[in-house]
This record gives sequence, structure tokens and C-alpha cells, in this order.
Amino acid sequence: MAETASQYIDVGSTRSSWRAESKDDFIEYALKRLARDDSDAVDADLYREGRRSTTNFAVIPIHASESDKMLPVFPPEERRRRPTLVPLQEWEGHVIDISEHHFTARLVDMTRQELIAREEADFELDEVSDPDRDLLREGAIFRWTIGYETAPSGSKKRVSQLVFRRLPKWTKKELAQADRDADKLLNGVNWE
Amino acid sequence: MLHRDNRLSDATGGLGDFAMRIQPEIDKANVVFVGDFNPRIFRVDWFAAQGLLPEEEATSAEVDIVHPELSRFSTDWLVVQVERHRFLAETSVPPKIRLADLVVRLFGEYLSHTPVHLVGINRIVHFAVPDMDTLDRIGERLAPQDAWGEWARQIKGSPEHHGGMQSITMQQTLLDDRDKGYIRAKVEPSTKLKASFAVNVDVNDHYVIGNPSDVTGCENAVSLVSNRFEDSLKRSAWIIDQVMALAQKTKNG
Repeated sequence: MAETASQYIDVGSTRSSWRAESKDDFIEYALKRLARDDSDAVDADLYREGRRSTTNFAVIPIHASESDKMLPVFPPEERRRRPTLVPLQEWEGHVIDISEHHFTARLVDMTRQELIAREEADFELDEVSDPDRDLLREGAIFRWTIGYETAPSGSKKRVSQLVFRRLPKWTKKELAQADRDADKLLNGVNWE
Repeated sequence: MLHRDNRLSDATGGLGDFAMRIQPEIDKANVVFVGDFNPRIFRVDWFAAQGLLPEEEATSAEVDIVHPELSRFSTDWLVVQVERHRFLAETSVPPKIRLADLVVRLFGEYLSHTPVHLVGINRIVHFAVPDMDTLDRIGERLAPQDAWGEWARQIKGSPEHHGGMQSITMQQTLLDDRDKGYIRAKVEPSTKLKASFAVNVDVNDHYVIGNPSDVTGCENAVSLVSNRFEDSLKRSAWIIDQVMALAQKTKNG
């Protein structure tokens, strides 16, 4: 069986490496532990700690007989390897015009922490991924990232990536707040 | 009007003000909710049916498990893992704001009655350092070995049995943006990279929404993610950059 990425277990105060043989092993292991009863006092403590913590992994005991051992819930990383993208710069854009082959957007430079759009750019429609095509319309918000993509083989290339944001709907509360803000702004204008 | 090729070349010339001084090889962000969840409903096809993820992404997703106790799937940019008391969504692919948009829509529009009493906005970074000396000196600066008294002389050991700082966590509790919570940064040597010597920094930006018995929905948790996500990640980058500065200072003597 192929060796998989190591995971850690904490054994008392020392740290040692643990290797799951497969994802299935891991899941079986995780489910057994999730289904355990909390009769063991240390188990119960760890379980409670898991419900207090918001770190990136849940720590749950392996089983009661080795109750001071803990294991992150993440399974071994045996999934298919994907390219990684290291960003160099990121802009937020909003679409102001769409023509037959390209669209124009105003851009806010997020990397330089700008707050207002100072730039405009044209983008080929072909640069928009198929799943995002439905989102392309005037006023649509997207992120433009440029950076280096590293393939699983190690080869690198510079890439430009457009991702249209699937934004939440405005809530009634937010709309009411926007109305209040607009009123406040309007009342603050000195008409002469 | 910008010429886009110029933008590409400009961008390689310099990073923005808040960019970390060492380019991390792994840079993940995640959102953790602690509350009460039904893992079975967190299926990738359900996400697609609600328009939370495009159909194409759902089709190519890897589903690890769907079970009453544990659900987990991943797409090209996203990992979702749900247990009965914990929801986690994670990404390592920019733009990270996609993660916040997804969580805000998921819980704001579809699961708004889910009780959530804790929120974590986390950043996990692994970066390479040039040699063991640099790694040692970062550890030494964060956790001076002399503090261990007579044992200090024996800690470092030999190249075959190398010791030193293995893990340290620092916490900030006085925060003006929340009533209860903290920021914790944990620094450890990393074994995740191909590089021989590397550092892992995890920053846990932790918010207490309320008592588990009192919280009835997730409006506050959603609002928090909506309003704080990017600022939290920037602050985490700044914290991580302080650790990176130790590597650079030692590298430059």
C-alpha cells in the first residue's frame, strides 16, 4: 500500500509521527472514535476541549485505552495532487461594460490595500471560466489574481486568474442599515 | 486604461505592503464554526443544487465520506469537513475571499437557524528557511534554551539527535474588536515541505459568540465572517511576518 502523508499524534507531552495506511483506514478510525462513549474522564476532557477550540483541526482521542493520545481529524493527504498558485498580486474588479469579445472593469488593488478603484482594465471574455460565465454582467464583482502556478510535477508558469464572487444576498437588516447610512449622509449635506 | 501585459510585469516587481516577507510554500485559510450541525446534509451535490458551488465543481469534487457523524469533500479550491459539533471550510487557493463568500451564503441564506457559539478564522503557513542554524535561532529567540537551566546544555544534542524548540503558542486576549476571544499563534518546525528546514505558523483568530445553551442561530457568526475575514487574514499575515523577520535577521547576521 502506498505510503501517505504523515499525521501527528500527541502522546502525553511528546509528539510522535503516525502514518495511516489509507484514507479508508483513517475514516474507520475517526468514526470509531467519534462513536465512542465519554465514560473515560480524560476522553471526556478532550472531547470538551474539542468543543471549545476553533483551531484548524479537531483533536479527539484515539480510544479510551490510550486516552491521552490525540489525533487531528484530517485524513492523510492521499488525494490527487493539484497545482498550487502562489499569488503575486490581487485586485478586486467590478464590471462596467461588456462587449462582444471583452469586458471592462474598474480595479481596486487589494495587495496594496487600496480602498477605491484607481485603474481600469480590459479582459477577454475567454478568460472567464465556464462556471463563472453566468455571473458576468455589469456590476458583477470578481477577483483578479496573478501569480505563479506550480504543477504537481514541479514545473512553474505565470498565470492570470479571474474568479467571480458568488456574493450573499443583501439581508433586510443590511438594507435598513444602508438606508440609515444614506439618510445620514444626505442630512449631512449642506445645500446652498 | 491599463495594458494588461504591463500589469503582469509590474506585479513581479514588488509585493504589496502587507505581503509576508518570505513567500510561503503553503498558505491556507479556514473558517471553523463550533455549534450543532448535521453532517449528513453537507454533501457536495447539495451545495451545487443550492448554487453555492458550480455544477462543474461539484461533479469533479472528491467525496471522502458522508456519514451521520462526519462529512468531508474537496474541490479544486475548497475542503469542507463537518462533524456534529464542528464545521470547517478551508482553502489554499487564492482568492481566499471565496471562502468567506461561501460560508456567509451557506449559513446566512440556507442554514441560518444553526446554532453557532464559537468562530475561528485561521491562517496556516509553512515557509522554508535556508538551514538548520536559521531554524534553531528562530526557536532560540522564541523560546530561549537558557531558561531551562542546566538542561539547556543538553537540549540541542547532536545532528543525529537534534533537539530544540518543538512548539510554542503565544496568545493575545486584550482585543478591542470582541468581548470574548483571543488570537493564538503557534510556531513549530514544519515537516510538510520538501525543503529540509521549514517553519509552520498557525494563527487562530478565535471569537466567542455566546454560551452554547443561549445561542439559537448563526446570524452573529455569519456577520463576523462577512465583516472580519479579510482583516483577520491580513492581521494573521502580519503576525506570521514577525516570525519570518526572525529568519531574515538571523540570515543577515
